[in-house]
Amino acid sequence: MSEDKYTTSRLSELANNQEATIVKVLGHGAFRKRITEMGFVAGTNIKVIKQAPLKGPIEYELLGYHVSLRHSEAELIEVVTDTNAHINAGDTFSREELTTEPFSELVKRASKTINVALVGNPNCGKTSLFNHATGRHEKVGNYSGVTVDAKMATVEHNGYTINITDLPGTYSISEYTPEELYVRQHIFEKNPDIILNVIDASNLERNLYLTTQLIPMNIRMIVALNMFDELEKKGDKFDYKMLGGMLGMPFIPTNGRNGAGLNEVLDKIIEVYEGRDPKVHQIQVNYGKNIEEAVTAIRSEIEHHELLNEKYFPRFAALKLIEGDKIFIKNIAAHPDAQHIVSQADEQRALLEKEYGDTAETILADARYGFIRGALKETFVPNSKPDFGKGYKIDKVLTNKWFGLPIFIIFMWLMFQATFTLGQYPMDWIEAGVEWLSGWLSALIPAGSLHDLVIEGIIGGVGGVIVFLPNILILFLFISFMEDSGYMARAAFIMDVAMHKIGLHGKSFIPLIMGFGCNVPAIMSTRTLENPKDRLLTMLIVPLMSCSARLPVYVLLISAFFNTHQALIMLMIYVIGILLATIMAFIFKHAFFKHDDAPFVMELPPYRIPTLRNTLIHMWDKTAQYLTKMGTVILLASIIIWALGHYPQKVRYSVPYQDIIAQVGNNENLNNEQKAATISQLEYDMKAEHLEKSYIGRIGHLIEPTISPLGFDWKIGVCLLTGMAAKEIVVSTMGVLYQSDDEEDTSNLQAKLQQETYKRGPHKGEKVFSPLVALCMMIFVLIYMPCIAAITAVKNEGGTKWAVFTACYTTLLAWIVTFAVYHVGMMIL
Amino acid sequence: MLQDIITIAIIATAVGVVILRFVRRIQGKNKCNCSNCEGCSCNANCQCCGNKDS
Repeated sequence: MSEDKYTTSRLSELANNQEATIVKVLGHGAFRKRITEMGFVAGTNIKVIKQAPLKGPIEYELLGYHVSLRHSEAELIEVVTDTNAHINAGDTFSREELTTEPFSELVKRASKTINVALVGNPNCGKTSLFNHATGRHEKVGNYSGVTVDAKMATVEHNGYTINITDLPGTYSISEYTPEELYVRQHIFEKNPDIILNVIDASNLERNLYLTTQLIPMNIRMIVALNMFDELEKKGDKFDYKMLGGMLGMPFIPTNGRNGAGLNEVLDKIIEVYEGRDPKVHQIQVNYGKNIEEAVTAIRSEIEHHELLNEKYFPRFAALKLIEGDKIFIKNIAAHPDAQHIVSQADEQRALLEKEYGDTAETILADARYGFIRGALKETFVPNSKPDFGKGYKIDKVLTNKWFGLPIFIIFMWLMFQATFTLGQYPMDWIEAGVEWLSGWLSALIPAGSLHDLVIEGIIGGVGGVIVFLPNILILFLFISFMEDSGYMARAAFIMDVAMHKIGLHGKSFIPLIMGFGCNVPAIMSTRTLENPKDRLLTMLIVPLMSCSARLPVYVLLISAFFNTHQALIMLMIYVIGILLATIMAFIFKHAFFKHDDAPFVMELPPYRIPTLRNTLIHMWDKTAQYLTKMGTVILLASIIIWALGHYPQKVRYSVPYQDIIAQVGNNENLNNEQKAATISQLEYDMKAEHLEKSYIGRIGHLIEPTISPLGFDWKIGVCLLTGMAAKEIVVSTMGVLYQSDDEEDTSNLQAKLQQETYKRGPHKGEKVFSPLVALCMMIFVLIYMPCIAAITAVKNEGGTKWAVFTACYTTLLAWIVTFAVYHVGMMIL
Repeated sequence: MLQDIITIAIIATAVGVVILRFVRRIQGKNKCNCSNCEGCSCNANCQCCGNKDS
């Protein structure tokens, strides 16, 4: 450091038994946090106990205890030794005459030294600012490439020494130019305390690209918004404070020509260095689900590699590897035991390139620009209308404040209409196949308990759900299209205003839409929400988004009891879920999650036409998942539910059916037809009574008092109970329980539901199901406790307390709403 | 008689599988080999690496 007024050493340079005082800890995020928590803070005395040979770990003593550090870790700790103090105090002092006062003064001075790296695009006014700050007159040119080497100077400001290094101007920190490599190398090796990113305010989008690349380096950053006066003159409006809040770094307007704003920048450097700015925090640029999954996999490998984890910030390194940065890959591969990381990154890159049909570099660049566009859409209003291409024109329609919402609602209606109409044909084929299989097995297996298990239990249960595979695939096709095309992000923008009214951000809308597919990944995707309260609030209302597992219930009941406007009724169920989610979000926000809204970025990724290959892969994945679930969870549940309905085999009947059947058979006053009809009715009644007195019937009757005010009978109660395991089991349980029917009637489940009557009680002989009861059942299924998997996801993401709360509030809400709908419906009809 | 035995065997197997899966989940053994796996909370593929629920 050519202009420093003192010298320091690195902890790794000390000899055995040498003592020193810590002045600064360099390095990034996790390491810095860990080492600081261990006591390595400015002013702490430390002594070398012993060093392992060949640059192995070094044992130190500090604060009365012993600790070992790796050589590379000790490199990152700046200290002042007696020798440094002697040198810095001047030769007039001998070592014996050195008192503690100049020593502690030196420590204090060293810890008040801030190293700042000045980074920015060429021609952004970086060097002009540098000159104003340092009072030098370095050469400033009006063409890029003038500054080809780093220049350093020192500023004394408010008791702090600020060493500023003006790095070469770069558009990014990739591997293509010497300037880019130099900037990257400088940041890794010199570990500046702060990066001062100078941005040309007249070209925000391009300048912010470099910012998005600097963010994962995890060094505290301040943005000098240069030429801000020119932006204001053009009539553009830019809420830089809001953008700063979103990015977790302060933005300060400056003017490189006259030095305006510089004092504020220097004040802010000190404030951020001392950790006094509460708004400064680390954010992550969200690259989208597929890229983030790849990054997570590589990052985890890097974190487990000791040397790499210290040298590079894992997320930054993972991104560079996936991007295919050759120099970075070479550096990583040179480390022992790191080749497998490089290979894994190559695989992930190949997968992404195949999926997106473009190079990894372009894919990541697109994602960064999507992030920037999202950020600027909320904070920047240009005076003139720039032309950003076809995507921009499409956005003008899709995110238009008048057309956006109606277009979205039409899209949702189309989705449900397609689910019904297109899904009907393959549904009929699968149903015919299941019936054929049932008939074939029925003829094959002799009558007995195994026959009943296979036909009524397994085929009845699994077959009852598998017919809905086409509907689920169509739903997922639409949701995948929304995600892959980029429309999902636009939907978030459309809903932003509405979401703010209920205390959420538009970004929360994406997990909610994903909840229409499955609540489990939707709950997990709330991790993209930076604010933990927003995350929790969104998690609590995701279960009210009707997942695809509930779809079979709706399709079954709507097909059975509503002949017209089927798609509209389906849409209405989903809308009820959305409305309830809105109301509950509003209530929870005010009851549990009062906080100031912290702004964050909603990405606007580029529009993309999903490839046929991708679409087929998603459809196949979903089919495989659904069939796996049929073969495991649903199969197991069907067997157990059938068993609970079959046992105990011997029950005490209210009427001696066998004797009466025998009597009817011997009754000479009846002809054969009358005998057959009477015996058939008696057998039906016997089977129904057996079911009521079986274990499942007892469970059903136990809970019946709680659900009869909703118009439900015990069988519906059992279906709802079993639905807690997985919502598809509601239909498979119906398939098992509604088997006890007259054999002459049609065999499909819809017909059985239509014909089901009360066997006992004040409603004996009346139909159980009506359109109102069907609607009530759908509403209950929509709202009540989500499946165990979703509750577990809430527990993992939010804690046991919130998981229990979710299970309880949803069930209570379901009861209240269904009660209201049933009784209002009874009054009207 | 044989039918009844087979039926009970199938039911017992189903109950046994359910109990075993529950015990494995409590023991945290529903994780795949990913170093950052947090366990699969549904019967679908692992969320972190796409591997099947182990």
